[in-house]
Amino acid sequence: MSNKKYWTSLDELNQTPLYKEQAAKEFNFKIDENPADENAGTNRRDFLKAMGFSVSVAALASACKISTHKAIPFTFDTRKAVSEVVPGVADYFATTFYDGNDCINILVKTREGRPIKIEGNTDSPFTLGGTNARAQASVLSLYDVTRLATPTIKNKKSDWKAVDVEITDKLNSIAKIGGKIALVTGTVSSAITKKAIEKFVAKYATTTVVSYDAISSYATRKANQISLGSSIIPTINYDKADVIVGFNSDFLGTGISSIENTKKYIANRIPTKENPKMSRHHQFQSTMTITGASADYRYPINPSEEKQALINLLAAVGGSISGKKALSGKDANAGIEKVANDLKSNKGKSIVVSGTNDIDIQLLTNAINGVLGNYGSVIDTSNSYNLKSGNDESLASLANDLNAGTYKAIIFLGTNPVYNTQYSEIFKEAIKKADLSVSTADRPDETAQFCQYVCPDSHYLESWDIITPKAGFYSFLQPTISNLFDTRQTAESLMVWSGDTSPIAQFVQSEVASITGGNYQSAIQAGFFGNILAGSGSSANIAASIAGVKTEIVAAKGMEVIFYEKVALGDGSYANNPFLQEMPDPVAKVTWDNYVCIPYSYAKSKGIDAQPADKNVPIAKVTINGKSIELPVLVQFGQAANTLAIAIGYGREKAGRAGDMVGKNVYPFIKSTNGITSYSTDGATIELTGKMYELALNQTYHTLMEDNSLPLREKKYRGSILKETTLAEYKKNEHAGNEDREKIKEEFSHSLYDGYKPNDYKQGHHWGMVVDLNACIGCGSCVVSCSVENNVPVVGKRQVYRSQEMHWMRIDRYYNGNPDNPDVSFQPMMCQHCNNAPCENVCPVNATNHSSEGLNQMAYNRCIGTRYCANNCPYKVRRFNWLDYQAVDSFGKFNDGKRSFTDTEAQSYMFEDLTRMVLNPDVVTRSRGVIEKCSFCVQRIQEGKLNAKKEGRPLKDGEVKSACQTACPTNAITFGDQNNKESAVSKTFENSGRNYYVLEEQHFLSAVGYQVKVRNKDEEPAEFFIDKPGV
Amino acid sequence: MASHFESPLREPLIFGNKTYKQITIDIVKPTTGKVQPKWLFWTLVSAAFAGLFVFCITWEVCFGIGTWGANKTVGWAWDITNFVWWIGIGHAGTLISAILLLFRQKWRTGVNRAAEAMTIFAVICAGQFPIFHMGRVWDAFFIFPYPNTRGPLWVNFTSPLLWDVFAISTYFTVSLLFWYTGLVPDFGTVRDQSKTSGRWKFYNFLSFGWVGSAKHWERWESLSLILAGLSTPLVLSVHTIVSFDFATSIVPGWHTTIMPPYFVAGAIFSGFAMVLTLMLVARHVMNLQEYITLAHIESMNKVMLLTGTMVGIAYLTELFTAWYSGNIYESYAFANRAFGPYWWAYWAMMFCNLVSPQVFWFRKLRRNIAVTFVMSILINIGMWFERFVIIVISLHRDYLPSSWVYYSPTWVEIGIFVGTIGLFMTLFLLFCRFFPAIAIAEVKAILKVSGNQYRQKQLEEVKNQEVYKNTSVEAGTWD
Amino acid sequence: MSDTKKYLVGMFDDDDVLVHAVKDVRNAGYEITDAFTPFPVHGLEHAMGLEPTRIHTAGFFFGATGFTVAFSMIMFINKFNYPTDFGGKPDFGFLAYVPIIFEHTVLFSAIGMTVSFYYLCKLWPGKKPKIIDERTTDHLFALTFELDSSKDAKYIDSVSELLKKEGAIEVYQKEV
Repeated sequence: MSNKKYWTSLDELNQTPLYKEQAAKEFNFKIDENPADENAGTNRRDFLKAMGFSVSVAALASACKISTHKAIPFTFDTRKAVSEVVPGVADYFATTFYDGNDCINILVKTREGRPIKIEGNTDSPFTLGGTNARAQASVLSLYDVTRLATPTIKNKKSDWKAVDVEITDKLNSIAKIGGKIALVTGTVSSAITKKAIEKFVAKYATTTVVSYDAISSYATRKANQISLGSSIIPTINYDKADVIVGFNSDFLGTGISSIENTKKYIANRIPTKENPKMSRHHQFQSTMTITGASADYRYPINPSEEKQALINLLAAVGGSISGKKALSGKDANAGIEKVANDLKSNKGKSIVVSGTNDIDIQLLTNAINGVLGNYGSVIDTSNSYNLKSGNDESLASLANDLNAGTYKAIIFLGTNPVYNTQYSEIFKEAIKKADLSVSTADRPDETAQFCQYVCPDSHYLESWDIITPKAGFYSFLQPTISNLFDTRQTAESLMVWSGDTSPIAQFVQSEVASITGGNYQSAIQAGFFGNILAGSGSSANIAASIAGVKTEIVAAKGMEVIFYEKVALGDGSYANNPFLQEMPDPVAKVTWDNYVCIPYSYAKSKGIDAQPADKNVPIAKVTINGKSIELPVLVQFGQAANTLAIAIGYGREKAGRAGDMVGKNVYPFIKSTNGITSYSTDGATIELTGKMYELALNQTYHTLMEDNSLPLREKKYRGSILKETTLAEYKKNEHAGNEDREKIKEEFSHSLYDGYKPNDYKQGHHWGMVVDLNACIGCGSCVVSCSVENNVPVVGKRQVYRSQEMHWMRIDRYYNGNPDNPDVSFQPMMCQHCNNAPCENVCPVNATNHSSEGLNQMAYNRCIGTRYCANNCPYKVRRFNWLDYQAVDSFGKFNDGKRSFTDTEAQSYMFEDLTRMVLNPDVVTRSRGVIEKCSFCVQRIQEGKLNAKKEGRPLKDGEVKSACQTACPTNAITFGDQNNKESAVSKTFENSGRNYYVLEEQHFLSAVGYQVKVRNKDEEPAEFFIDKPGV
Repeated sequence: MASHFESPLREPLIFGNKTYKQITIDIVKPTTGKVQPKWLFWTLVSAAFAGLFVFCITWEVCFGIGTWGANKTVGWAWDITNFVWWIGIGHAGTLISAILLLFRQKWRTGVNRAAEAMTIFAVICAGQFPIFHMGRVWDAFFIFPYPNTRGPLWVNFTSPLLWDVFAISTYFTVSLLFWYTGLVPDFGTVRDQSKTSGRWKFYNFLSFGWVGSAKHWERWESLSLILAGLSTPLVLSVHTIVSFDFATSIVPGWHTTIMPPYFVAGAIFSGFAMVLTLMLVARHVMNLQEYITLAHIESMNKVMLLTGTMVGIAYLTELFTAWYSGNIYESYAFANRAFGPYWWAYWAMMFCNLVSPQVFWFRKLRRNIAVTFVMSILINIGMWFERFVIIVISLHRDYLPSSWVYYSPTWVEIGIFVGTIGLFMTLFLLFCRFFPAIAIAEVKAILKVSGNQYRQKQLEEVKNQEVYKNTSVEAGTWD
Repeated sequence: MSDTKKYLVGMFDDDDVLVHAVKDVRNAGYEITDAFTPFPVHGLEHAMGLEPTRIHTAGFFFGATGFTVAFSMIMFINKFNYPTDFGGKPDFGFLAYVPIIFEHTVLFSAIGMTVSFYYLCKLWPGKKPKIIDERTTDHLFALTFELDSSKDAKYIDSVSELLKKEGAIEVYQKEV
């Protein structure tokens, strides 16, 4: 009898009596007795009952006498499988999304054996059910056709036996003569991989292990070595902080363990009537990130000034340090004072963080936090991360040694230094020179293409593993589908090469068992083990920290450049994921490209249009220390005056169809100063080439303030779209910023049709949604989640340039205030399901009308595509299938992506059968020429209603969650039944003074309520600025 | 004869001392004889453009609307712009035949036949766009309320697009009936002039065997009169209903009650412009100076001056209302028209439609062929821009600034538009070659009233009468 | 139309003369079978004493039919057979249906009248016409007198006499 099982609910996990009873009701089928069952033992039947409708592939396996160390594909032996799997019912597997930066506990939704959707694991004490866009999109990369199907030798197909033999031979011969072996890894937080590496090193003594991060936090560890005596990255409890000061730290977007931090951050950012309290967030930034966008106060500073700013701040909060000097920006100078005051009045309840990879800067933040006594309260050094443990110095020295040719063998554990380090050329040469070069990348990427052997790693959804993001917390990976290709986990490869051929599954299982003290089942079911202990830990040695700082500051020459990471693409390893490529950058609203962000003031002086209506932007030539690169120009409001910003992670050459040649690669521009990789530099020049570029923007106008360049017009603010206020105002009046609602309600209490009473949907359900503008940080997780859930096609760069994108849900981003340092507001926008929907009465064929539950519904098969409804939608949320994006066209495969004779063809990313396995079978794919839009995830509503009906009870609030809601790391979105007086939605609609509807005065009676954005500012929100739109 | 009397001061509409015989010969001539190379050349050129139309439509249907520049915000662009433009042009013909017939405007007889033909062809061109702008044109039949087995499943009768379907099809049918019924007697004439039996059979078939019996003529006149009576409200209703597409929507810049009158005036305006363009060409190519006289041209210029000014007033009224309403979306929509990214389209419209027609206040310019021709072209362009302004500029910036976009057409859209012009010209040239381009019977009917020689006679007769003592009009002073 | 009839034909070259002649001939008590003219000659129908056509009456009834059809169709569909919930609008907002009802009225009336016109005139594509004189669609006007068995030579002479006196440019007999 196998001791494994999977679970879908806590009831099941804990085997509550109610659950057992239901399970029994559900599956009291007769099991055919066959000899094999004897092995299973008499309790097999009870066990099956107990499992309810979850798949027990292993139990099946044991029954079928198949060694249990492999997950069995759904298609295996259906004669058995059928009785276990209920077609049409989803099974959820707990596993873990992990890249060196994030570790997220997730549930994988599988249908008929195919993983089709990622959901957050709400039981996890670590990420609390939050997900980010990368995790949401990762399910698509499982079906990436670019992945290698077999190991290769010199880029020719081969098989594992051959590869293993050759590699081990070479390794042995190299080891014999004492040749050095380099093992180049990324951050290794996997207990399994760690063990495998140990084994490998034990076998081949001459091995040096070098681990690096493309985007490194090494300086933080180095600084903490000085301040705390151990090179750790401590946990920061943003929820305990009342004042948060960030210095170029994107802890909400791309920072270490961003989901965990976002959850904590937002916990203290939502004021309510009962408890009108929120933390105050100051952000000193060189460019604009979503973290800066969520800040209450932003101060643009040039990268070179960050250190000075911190010195000034340290001095201002009472640290004993010399070298105080005024900053160039007067905002920033004033800011330092303000911040210092806030900090001093919140000692022990504040935090100063910097994301800059610079020891001095990290030491300074440590010193400041030390002075403020934030250690132990906000900063928890006892809970440190195993993430981002790359070592810049060892990478640098490796580069030197490689140059010298000391290494006979190089093995890349999935790393891609040829692409994502500044040592690209060195690595290329070294690989060519080496006797043995191996890569475990899952595709022939920039590095692997030169390697003699490529031993493709399995996708994480096919893998076993144990991740320890923090000491004492274990996060488990289990396969949700058997290997699609002939791939093998890196750890397993290493073990094989070090002579240990025991299958990895067993290894992991025994490890898990030992970690959890034999409590294997529930651990794997839960997907994690252990708790996040709220420890305290030691405080920083302030004196040592300050002593460590080199206070002299070299003034920057020329323009400065900061290389930043994008929320979607990260370091570039996700480049071939079209969902992420098409996800607009939360701040810049650009898809499918990187570009050079220039400050508004500079654009003005050069006469560059900050809001190019036609999306045609100039191409600029940026020259940094002799090397130059041509990039499209994007005017970034709020960017420091003398700074340029360019995103890394683009310009892949061997990523795959979606990712190749998108944007330009700027890793080669990154320099390392005395061993530490630095992501900003100076001495740059920028000049316009006079050429223009078609930038795939999906928002070209950035403010709610109208163009005051129009004569005879006073400035007007479209106040009914986005409302905001300050905490001070909100404390005085819970309707602050929302005062006009009463008047509007009164005005529209009468109807034009006398005696006609329109349907108010008071019968049955009336679905509604609440979006809290205070919670939304614009991360875009919901956008991707929506696309995956609803089979929303990816349209490609050209179509986005033509504004023909298909996203059902978007996040509008508006600036207000001073263009050099504006406030930023995010507004998720999806179909509002208006009771008086303007789209409905104009459809000539009745293809869209209202359901009895208040849903504005589309009949795709009836739609003939006149687009009249889209024109008449005031929220512009209706989307038209311009081309055959899903390759489902009745006219044959004109747009199957293989043809290139028309430049207008759809960039269909959904035409390969493998890729189409990600499609959600509950949602129909739309053919060319029909309108589609947000359906409030009607398929989930139906599922919820059915389940309730089966169990003969009313639908519970929160039982049906929309895809955007489950994906949101800040719970900004709440979905529910307006007719259920107990539901969160109707409670908010009735009680919250912050609740309003977009364009309410137009009387569309929309079903999506928004919560007024509250900023923790002392003064009123700045007047909305306008920048003349492009003409 | 009393029935033939009208003020001798009126200008004759037929010159060159025509007799009935002569009229027949003159008008039937183009349909007989050898093919002129000039005609053949232009017909082939037009046919080539018609071919381009077919190609571009095929392309669009095969690949999808995505081959156009239309997008998430600007759902309608050149397609509906061209539709409204063509429909507008299609108004002059019926207007001339119907309303002028009711008003007993004798000058219509010279031009009504060709104008009606133009109407038919323009509506044919217009009809292409609502059909091919559909995402799934192969399901276009969904828009008809036919009983079906999916049922009950019907169309939405509150949708202005559905009103369009009925309005356009009705308009086309009625215009066609009206036009053809007028043609029948003239086909009879052509038949009886034909030398070969083939031609005889052909035209006899077209003429339904017309012989011109007195009773037939009586019914024929009564039918024409009532069809005219029906067409008059119809012609007004069609563009009114087209304007409902916009007026009943919620898009700022569309949602205005001024739309119907403004659209109708615009339609007549552009229609007359197109009639003139074609007339002046036909008049020149087919030597019809004696039937399409300066009097015709001047009267049409007067109508254009009137309607053009009406349209202009509508533009200004819109601006005023937008500003006066204080509605931020409305007022921005109009400010954006004039000063936004598409300012050039707006001012092109303003110049062509409001400013330039004012030259027609001067009689000299009204009667100047060259000026008239240039003006007619300008007005056609201006009216196209008017529709572009209304449709695209209103859509591209509406409520939520986040969705504001800029639209520019692709070669497919341009090809389709140019193609319809080719289609239109092809049909018109074929018409000129094979059909009597001027209503023979009707011209004959007014010969004695407006024929030059008869007018001269009348002048002689009335010279010494009291009433005309102080008039300075002398024989033949009209040219 | 196999059987042919014999006619006495008087040709005129001016419509005013024709109308005058018609009056006199009828006053003289002769019955004119038919007149053929190249264009509608005003006053001719009165002179010949043709009773006014009732085609416009027909037009009215056709229109009424169109109105009824459209109204009842929409009423049936939107109110009873397929009421849907769209845009918070009532199932039967009459104003929204005026355009279609109007168009139907016009369409029915126009088609009905035209069809009845060709029906009454016995005109259809490819009909073999009985042409008295080809010039009547060109520049001449014809008056015809059917010559059946009852008409003797005396009758023919006197009519020809009268026609010549009235200004007929030629008078002849023809069988068609």
